[in-house]
Amino acid sequence: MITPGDVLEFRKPAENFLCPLSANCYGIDFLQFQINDYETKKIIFEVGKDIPPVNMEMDIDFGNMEDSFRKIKYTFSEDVLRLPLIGTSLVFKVGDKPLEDFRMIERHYFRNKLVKSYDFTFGFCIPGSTNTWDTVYSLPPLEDDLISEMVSSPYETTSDSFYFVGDTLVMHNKASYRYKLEDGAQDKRSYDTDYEAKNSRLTAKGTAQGDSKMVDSENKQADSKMGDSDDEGPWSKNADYD
Amino acid sequence: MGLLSIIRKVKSKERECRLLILGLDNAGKTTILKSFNGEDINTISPTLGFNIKTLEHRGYTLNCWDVGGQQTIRSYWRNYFESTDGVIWVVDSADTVRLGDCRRELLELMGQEKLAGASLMIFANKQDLRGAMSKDKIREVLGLDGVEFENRHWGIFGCSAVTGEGLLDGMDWMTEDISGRIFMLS
Repeated sequence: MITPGDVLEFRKPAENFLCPLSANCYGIDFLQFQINDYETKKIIFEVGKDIPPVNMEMDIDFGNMEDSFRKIKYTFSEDVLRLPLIGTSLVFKVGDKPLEDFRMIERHYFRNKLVKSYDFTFGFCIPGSTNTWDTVYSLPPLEDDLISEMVSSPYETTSDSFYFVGDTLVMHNKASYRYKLEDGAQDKRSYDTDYEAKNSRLTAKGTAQGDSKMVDSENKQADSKMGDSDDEGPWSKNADYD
Repeated sequence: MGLLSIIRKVKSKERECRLLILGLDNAGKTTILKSFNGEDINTISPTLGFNIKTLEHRGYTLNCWDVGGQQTIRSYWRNYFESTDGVIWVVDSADTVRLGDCRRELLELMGQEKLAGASLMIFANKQDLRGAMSKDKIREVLGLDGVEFENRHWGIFGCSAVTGEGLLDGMDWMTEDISGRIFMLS
């Protein structure tokens, strides 16, 4: 049996999937995943049930469909490796059984070398719930040489994501990554075009300056005051008190 | 890795705290969290589970757990108490009808042993709405000056998640109060 302790020892990509698809007896289902620039809130990558993927493909092996669903190829902007703070947002739902001690461990490799490892405990998940996990990665600064090599070696950056409930491995997914060079001479980044509608709306609203930790309190207040206070607002109760 | 970077690593771990954001449904918990983080707040639906969000604030890493407030979900709140440094209790200041429920749930929460040491910060939200009660009125109705809260570090702040007003003051109080208790050693 594979435990969290085991996968934390891994120093190179797993050769096979370490549990069958059927190990996910909790009905854990990923609904949406997004990568953004934490400071500007710009979307760099997004995929979801209702969001057709750009820059993503499955590694279909018709001899082994079960594995194909768990092997995804992504194309990311090289900014994912270079920006100081990367935000990710994952939406997932769970089935009718409560999850105790839900935990994700993700190991990232370049070729056969471990470059990053993430370990996050969600803890308890309410039966039938839909949950969102937004986190910020301050990337361990990667050497410029390593970044260049990763960019020039498509799909040689890989990751294994392991999901545990307690000590039981319930999901194992694999991904490989290709990084797209950004044109330094251009104002626009590739993802400005890929996610034009959402990212341009962001800038237009002035929230692109973001409430990041770099922004001091005065700016922050000013920024949040630029929100859409003239709109209906998110509360259904508004009508009752207007 | 040099000794200095090890020390820094330990320290940065220490400057992490876990905040639990609770309150009745429709109080604005998720909106507060998103607004504080500078995100779009126009398409927020009821939370039927949790939203976990990591925020960087004044050198602290705040791991915020916003758990849905609908009655059917409230019984699961206790699963999130462990290791909580601070509770943010969000009140819909315009929902006068349910203030009694709001007080009852808050008292029950504060009676939980696992939350005994947690700082309590109350957001009297929706101050931008006509008909919203002032934070002083809510302080009175919730009975914050009563015996139930006398051993508790607590603070109350009026705010509006929509305009952003007051959010920073509340979060500042929360981080300062927690750091005053926990990070004294460093």
